[in-house]
Parts: sequence; C-alpha cells; structure tokens
Amino acid sequence: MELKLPEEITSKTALAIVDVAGQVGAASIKLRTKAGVGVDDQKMKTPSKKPNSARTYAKSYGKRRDKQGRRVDIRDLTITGQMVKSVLLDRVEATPTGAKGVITVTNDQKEKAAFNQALTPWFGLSPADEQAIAAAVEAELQKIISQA
Amino acid sequence: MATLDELTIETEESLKRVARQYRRQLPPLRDFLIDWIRKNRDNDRLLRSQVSLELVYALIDRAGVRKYFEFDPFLNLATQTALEKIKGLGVEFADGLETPSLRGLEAALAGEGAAFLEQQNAAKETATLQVARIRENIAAQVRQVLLQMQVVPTPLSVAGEQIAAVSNLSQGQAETIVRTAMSAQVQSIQNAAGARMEAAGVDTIAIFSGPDDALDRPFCDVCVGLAFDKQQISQLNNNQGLSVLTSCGGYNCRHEWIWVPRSYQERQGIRQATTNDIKRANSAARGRK
Repeated sequence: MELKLPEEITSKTALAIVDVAGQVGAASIKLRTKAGVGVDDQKMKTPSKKPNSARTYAKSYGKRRDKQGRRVDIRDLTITGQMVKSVLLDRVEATPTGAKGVITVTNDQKEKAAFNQALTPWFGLSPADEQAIAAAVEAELQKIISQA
Repeated sequence: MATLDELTIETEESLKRVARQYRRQLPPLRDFLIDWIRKNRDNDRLLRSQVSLELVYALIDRAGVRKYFEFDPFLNLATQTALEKIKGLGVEFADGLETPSLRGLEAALAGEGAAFLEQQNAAKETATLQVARIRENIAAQVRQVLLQMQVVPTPLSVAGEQIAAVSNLSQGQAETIVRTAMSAQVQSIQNAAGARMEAAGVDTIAIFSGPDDALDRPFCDVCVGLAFDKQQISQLNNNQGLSVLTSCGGYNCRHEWIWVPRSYQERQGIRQATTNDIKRANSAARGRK
C-alpha cells in the first residue's frame, strides 16, 4: 500500500507516520483475522468439501472444536493464538522516495502462516485495512499540522 | 545427647537421599548443556537475542514447577520425621513448635542441638547448590530452544520434547514454558512499538485482543475486546504472578495487547475499559464473580 505524505514534513516525521501506518496495518490484520474475516474482507470459509453448517471448518473438525469450547461460527485460525500474535511490524526504513514499513510473521510461525494462507488467505492488507491505515495516518498528520 | 546425635546422622542420611534423588534426575544431556553454555557465553548472538535468561528463570519459577527446584519441602519432610522421633524420646516442645520447619526444630533444639543444625545446614547448602545447577541447566536449555525457534520453524511438540528430555518436566509443562515465553517475547516487541509511537507524540491505547470463546479464563473473558490505556493495564492483575503487560491472562494465554493510535480505536468503535471493568477482571482472576 502506498501513502502520499506532504512534502514539507521531515524524514523523521515521515518515519514516525509510516510506523503508525505499519502498527495500524498489523493491528487490522490481527483484528480482522480474529473476527474470521479474510484478506478480501469476506467471511473466511473452509475449502473442505464437507463443511459444517457455518461453512467455517470441515464438519468433523468443527465438531471437535465445538466440543473443546472453541468457536465454530467463525474461522478465526486460532488454536493457541500464536500465529496471529506473531504478526508484527518488522521494520520501518527510509527509501529514496520516502519510507516503508514491512509487516511480517515471526520465523517460528511462518510455516503455519503460509499453510493457512494457502487454504484461506488471511495475511495481507484488505481494502478495509487500507482504509483504516489511511484514516489513522490522516488523523496523525492533522495533529502534526495543527501543532505546527 | 547420644540419641540426638543418632538422629543427626539419620537426618543427614535422609538429606543425602534427597540429594541422590536429584542427582538421578539429572539428565544425560547435562554435560552437553554445560558445554553449550560455556561455548556460547561470549557469543554475540546471545547478547543480541531478546530471549533473556531472567525471563526463562522467572517462567520456570512461576510455571508451577517451582517445587521441583525447592529443597525446603524435602528438608521439612526430613525435619518432621526427626521431630516425631524426638517427640517420641520425650523431648518437650513449646506450643506451636510442631510445625515442620527448620525454625521450629532450631527452637526445639536450642542450646543442645547446635551440631545437629550445623550438619543439617551444610547438607541443605549442598543440596541447594545441586538443585540450583539443575535449574540453570533447564533455563539454559529452554533459552536455547527459544533461540532455535527464532531461526528454524520448530513444532512446539518437538521443542517441548527437547526441554522435557533435559529437565524431567512433563511435556505439557515444557510446552507451557515455551509457549508463554514466546508470547511474552512477541508481546514485548509490540509493547516497544507502542512506546515508540508514544514517544513520537501519538496518543496510544492497547486493545486486549484474541478469541472470545468458552476456553477463555474469566479474567480474559472480561477484558477481551476492550481497550486499555497504560495506567489501566497497570491496575490489572491476572493473579498468576505474571505481568499482565507481557503475558496478558497468564500461562498459555491466547490473548495479546495490540497497541494502536487512539484515533484507530475510536474509529473502530472499540470501547475503552472502565474502572468497573478493571475491578470485574481482577475479581474474576481471583475466582470471584
């Protein structure tokens, strides 16, 4: 996602803004996934040919989850919670044209994340995530401008 | 006195038995681990790592396996046996001194059992040293597995097996230690990011995020989905002896703090916790409704 920042802001401020954008991006991915919504802003569904009634998990697995007390009405990709927790803003760095932030998954969870991504795309910025980032950046920029 | 001397010998023997029991529990990998610590002591990689030994120590101590490292319960058991026998010999105790503690025994034997206590203390010190070494080994191994997991994707079950093998911990306990440490590590990174935003002048707040299901602890059940500021977080108590800021609801907690600008929290319609929410969460953690 590309964000256009006013030219008059310093590179330090630009980095801080990208930091905010990155944090909001990571937060949006986490909150969206935990709500059972995929990267297309649609409810995540199981690719199983024998789904449960909510179409979130395979019927047999859904039964097991239900018995364990886990949610089956949404596909939140959560058992221990480690995978979604491991989504982090890895770095923010200056580039020749501005600054960039990289959101990633920690190494220990990459395999699991990639597997789930192949089944149900969840990692990435959805249109709603991008809107949330743009709104947060806008709010921070306005604050900076009003303070200046 | 002669009888008391015999008891001294007997108690010392029982302490030695305790020490032997610990020695038997020393895993074959102990020497390997000591070598590993020695080789890596000056390694930059360890210094750079965010996995601190203190974190692992704290987790081991608090993971419900503390008794494994404590010598006192064994000592108390030995003392209790000795007290029973001394009692049987007609030695009178003042009220309340029957408590199986070293202090109780000390008081009971004041003035006539100094040698007994000296020997007992020496045995205690030896055993404590041995226990401390076991604890160091386990902490080092846990830390090693954590470092390894940062580089190579390692299934938790494998990591748990590795730790359980050297520590005689159960697989479940080992997995809990790893999982909680990994979570605390990731949470520390997130907390640092929140602090960074705050330092840049952004008004930040943390969302207690994670699953909202029947498996939630009562504490988490109250907090999940709410936003808390820094001061409010400091008022929360999960009653597990772990920092709420780094471990949320405690061991194996599936929740996390997500630091966001306040404007984001407001835009998403996420409610900020009230004093009442905090009270309810703390009460729930203590097992009260």
